[in-house]
Amino acid sequence: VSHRDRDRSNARKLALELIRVRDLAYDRVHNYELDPDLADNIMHNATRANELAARLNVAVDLDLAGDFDRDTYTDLGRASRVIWALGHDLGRARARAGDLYSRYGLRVGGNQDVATANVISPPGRVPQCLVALAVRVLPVPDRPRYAGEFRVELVDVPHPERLRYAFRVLAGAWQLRRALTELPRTSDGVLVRRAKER
Amino acid sequence: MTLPTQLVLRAMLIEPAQETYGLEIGQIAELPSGTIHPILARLEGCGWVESRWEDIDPVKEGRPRRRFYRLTPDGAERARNALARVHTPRVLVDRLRPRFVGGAL
Repeated sequence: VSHRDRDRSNARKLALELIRVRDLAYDRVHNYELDPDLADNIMHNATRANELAARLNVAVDLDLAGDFDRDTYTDLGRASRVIWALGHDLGRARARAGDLYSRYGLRVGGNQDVATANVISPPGRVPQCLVALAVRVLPVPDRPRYAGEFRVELVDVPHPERLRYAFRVLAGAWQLRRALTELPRTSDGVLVRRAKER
Repeated sequence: MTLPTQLVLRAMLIEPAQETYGLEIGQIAELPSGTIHPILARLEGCGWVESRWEDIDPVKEGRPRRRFYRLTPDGAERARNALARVHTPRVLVDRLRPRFVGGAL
């Protein structure tokens, strides 16, 4: 798979993720009792997510032959920041919703109350997808290692915080990619320092 | 040296010989997880930090293996020297951290 194909594939996935987060944001804003400032923030970022997703999809469709232009790479950076911001606010929204459920003695997800929802359980599909997407941003030789690291950290994070954790990992993936690509490697992609240790 | 790097090094210097994993380092340094791994990757690349997979049976433990990080003896020495040379006003640290206090995920 060429570098261009990977970029296009990542951009398409990020666009899909923006749409998912946008839908999640609309759902939270409409179905939970949120304070107006938080709801405004979420709606503002959901609108930006929508615009960015549309721009990225157009860029992917138009740039069939060449590299992305600089604006598209800027949009990719913006997309990860919007996803981070929405993840942060949705995390707060979730905590607020949890308070309301707890205060009114309501139950979360049918027969599961708030207390049992916090018990350690396998990560949900959305956090796992976000972490998988973050791993795909990284250089190929480093993916198995960080997939393992992020997977165990996701399990270690308390259940209500997992979505927020996953968003932050995704937002930081571009920075991690930059750090990893700066490191000296052998021709087969192994870090020079690690190669010396073997 | 950036402020997050200083915070990571200070966290790891509390017990330099002790192995810790990324999430734990983030909680001690009060930094979010997305910022920890790039710093650890750079420190590992320049030989200040070493890492290894936890030696457990994931099936038996019921969870995947953790990646443990530790300062190398040389890295600990160089980190101490580097931190002694930088002066970071408390106000800058507080400006970086308040968003994450109480939950550095």
